[in-house]
Amino acid sequence: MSFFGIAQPNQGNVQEYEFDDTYDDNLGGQLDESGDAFNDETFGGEASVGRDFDFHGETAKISYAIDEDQVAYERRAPQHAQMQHQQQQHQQRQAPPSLQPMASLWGAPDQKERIMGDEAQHGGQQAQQAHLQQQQHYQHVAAQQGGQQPLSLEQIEAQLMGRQAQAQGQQQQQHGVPPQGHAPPQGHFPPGYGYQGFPPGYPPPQGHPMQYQQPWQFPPLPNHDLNMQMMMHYQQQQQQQQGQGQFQQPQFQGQSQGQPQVQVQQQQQQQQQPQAQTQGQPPAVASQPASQQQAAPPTAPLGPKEDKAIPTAPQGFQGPPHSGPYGYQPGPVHVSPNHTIPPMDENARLAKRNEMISKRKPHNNLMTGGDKDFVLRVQLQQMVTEDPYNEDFYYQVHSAINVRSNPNQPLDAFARTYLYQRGQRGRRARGNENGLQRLQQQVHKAVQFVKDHPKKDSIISQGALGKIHLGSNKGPRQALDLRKRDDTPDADNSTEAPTEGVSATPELRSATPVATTTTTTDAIRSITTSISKFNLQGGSYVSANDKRGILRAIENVYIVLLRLEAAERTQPEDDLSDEFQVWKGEKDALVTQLWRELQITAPIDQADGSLHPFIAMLSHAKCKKAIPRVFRHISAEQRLTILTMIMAHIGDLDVVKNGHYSGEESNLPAKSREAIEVFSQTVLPPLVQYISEAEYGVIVGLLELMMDRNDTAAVVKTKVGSAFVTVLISRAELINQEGSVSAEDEETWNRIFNRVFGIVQRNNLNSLFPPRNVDDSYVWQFLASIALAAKIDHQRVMVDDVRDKIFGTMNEAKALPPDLSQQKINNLNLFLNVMGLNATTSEIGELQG
Amino acid sequence: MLFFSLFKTLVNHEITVELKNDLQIRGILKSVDQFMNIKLENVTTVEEDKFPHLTAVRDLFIRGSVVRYVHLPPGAVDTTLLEDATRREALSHSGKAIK
Repeated sequence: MSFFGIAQPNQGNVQEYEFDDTYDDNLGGQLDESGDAFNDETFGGEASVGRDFDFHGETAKISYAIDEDQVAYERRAPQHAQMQHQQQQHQQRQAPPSLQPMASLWGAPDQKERIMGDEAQHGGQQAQQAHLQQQQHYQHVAAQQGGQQPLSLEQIEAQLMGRQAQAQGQQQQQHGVPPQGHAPPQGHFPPGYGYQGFPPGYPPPQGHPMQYQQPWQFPPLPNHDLNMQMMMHYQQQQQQQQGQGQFQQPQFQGQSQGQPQVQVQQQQQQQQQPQAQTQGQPPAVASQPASQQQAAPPTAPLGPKEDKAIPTAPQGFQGPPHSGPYGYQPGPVHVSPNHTIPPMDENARLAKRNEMISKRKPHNNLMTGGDKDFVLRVQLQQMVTEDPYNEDFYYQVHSAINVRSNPNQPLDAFARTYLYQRGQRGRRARGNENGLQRLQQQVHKAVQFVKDHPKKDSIISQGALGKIHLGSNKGPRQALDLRKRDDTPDADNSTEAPTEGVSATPELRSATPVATTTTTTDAIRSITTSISKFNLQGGSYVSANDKRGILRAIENVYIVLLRLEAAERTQPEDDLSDEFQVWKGEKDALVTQLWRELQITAPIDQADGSLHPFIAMLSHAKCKKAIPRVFRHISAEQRLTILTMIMAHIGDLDVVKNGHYSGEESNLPAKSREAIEVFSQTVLPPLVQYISEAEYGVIVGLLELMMDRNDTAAVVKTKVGSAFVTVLISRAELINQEGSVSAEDEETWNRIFNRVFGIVQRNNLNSLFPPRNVDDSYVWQFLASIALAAKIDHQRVMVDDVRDKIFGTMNEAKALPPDLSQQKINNLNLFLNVMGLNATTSEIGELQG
Repeated sequence: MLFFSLFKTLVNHEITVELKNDLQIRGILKSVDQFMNIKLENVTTVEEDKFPHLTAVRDLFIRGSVVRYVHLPPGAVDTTLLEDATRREALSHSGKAIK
């Protein structure tokens, strides 16, 4: 057997007819945990099923749409005859009470004809009453149109055939009850009756009649002995007239017509006696004077009138009793006799409110709790994942970060159950058991099942010409299926290779010695040997000219970083366990691999004169951003190596190379500015951090290495270059001031510093400054650090050089608003304070205190 | 499922959804699923005078297939994390998933 063309397992077994088996993946079967013991808890079994099967009520809620359709249709039909025709055609449909005025156009003549008949029999009575009656008739017809029930062809026939006989019967019935006995049927009216006070434009509430029942109370039923047929007739009307139904209250009859409610009730009474009108009216209801019978001839014959009446006026329907169009039973509508009548205005208000609600949200409560759970389960099944840290990484980490930053933020139930706790690996769901959680366990099993039985990604059905590709939410169906050809040599072989194999034992072999200049000091020698220490013999490195290779190398760094960070999350608690040793070994291997991916161990001078691969990588923003993350994992020695490499190639760094200002009024290109910004925020901080803890020899060595290998004058003109020099000199001066420096070291330092100062001063200090519109604080910082280390005569030379700049800055500051001005002066004072001077916008004086 | 992972973090943020019929709707993201069906609350149309019929609409549900663009709140997207998530997904698709 097959279901939707899917072959079923267990053929011939009774199992095959189980609902669960109709799913091709048997997920349903897996979901069936261990019996249905907790179904009630899961799906809210205690909830009453009361309205779940109330299809009638649910349909009624949306039937106003049908009604409006009908209204629109009828508005288009201008003529009476056409309307009647339509009325026959659309007899099943209801017209909302808003139709009242229109309905009277065609309903009136019909009624009038009848009234004529009455009149003929009874003679004229009070004009006012007659007028009222006619009005009532009109509205009555309208109401009935609204309440028109669907009639089958047979019913219509029966109606036609039996009408006269029924009329007779009605007469007899009426004779059998007291005149006020016309009220009783109203006792069956649903509470919605009495709505006719609404403006004509109002659509009917259309809600389930039961809904309107509660707030309403009914007058006692005086005569239960009414003919059942009659009751049915009225109740059918009532069901459909909810919007305009009326409470009939005999005591209201005498009241003034000026009040709609009262009028309505009077009309209601009129409606109660449609048949009676044909035969004779009780004295209370006046017959009408001839003057009011404009539309119809007063002597209309009975027969044709009734023919006309049949399709239009349900009150004429005397066919066999049948339940209402919605299968609505009169029983539940009966009210207990001791109920009282609420005030009419409150009734109207409640009804109006209910109507508004059902109008605005006609689909409230269409789904049961079970339905919602089912949908939720289907959705969860799609979303739930075995490995949230891979497939839902962003959400997991993002929410973890957010929860940490905002621990008071409450998670909604859905997040608590699935999204959050699922993601917390190894952490058990805490306490709060709810249905969703149970559901989630089931889903977990379902996922496990799917994992154990992987879906084929394509189906080749027998005899078919093609195959059907299937997609899932995790592996969407691919529009293009590109397969790597096996014979293509792997372009990324050189860079790919290291990622594949991680050498667990990092062998540090002495390798190609780094070529340095002859003036290398001991300090530099120690650093450069640290580089050569990590040089791996025969290691292949990506060329800086291979742009794709460089990008690939950066990605490889990231991949190892991700693995390292993932490894950090799984660190065993116990530092002494074997488990920890294994973990440590893996982590160290990853660090070694990371080191290699950084290409830092490439010879410091490339054979072909191209850029060092690490420096080439650093020109990409994403590699810059990786540096702080790399620094977290590598050793101090490795950090020094990176710093050394950067200092050795500082002139080649993109941020230095592209960091020069060409003209006076021009700023750097946006791209360069952005690169400098990224470098200052990512690469500089860890390096500065390292320098601020470095030893004297390292500082000296780095400075010397930089000057040996780069054009220092050009380097210090850039923001990044001067920042490095500033930090190095400041650190050296700090160590000097601590006093624990040997005379030999001091001698070395003085030599190096004099060299730096010579280079800087020779090239005119003013040339260090960027264009006027650029923030020059870094230059003042640089000058301050130089001045700090300089002797007094050096300082004097510096002040002489930048004298114009100092006064220029003060003059500029004078013209600026106070806060900007203060900022300028503060920058200036960075430099001046070092020499014991202090500047304001107007003068330079001795630094106080 | 990367985008789904991303959109889940944007729940209760204001986004602007641009539909394939050029309609742009701004609202608070309330719910999203793996088809990028979107539930918005407190919606406004970007071009109110062009689409006056949407003035009265407060909440709506957008089928994912009619979405052309979604404008995300830049402050709510962690691009570094997103890059890492992308790398992870690429790795797991190539069979080298990070354990």
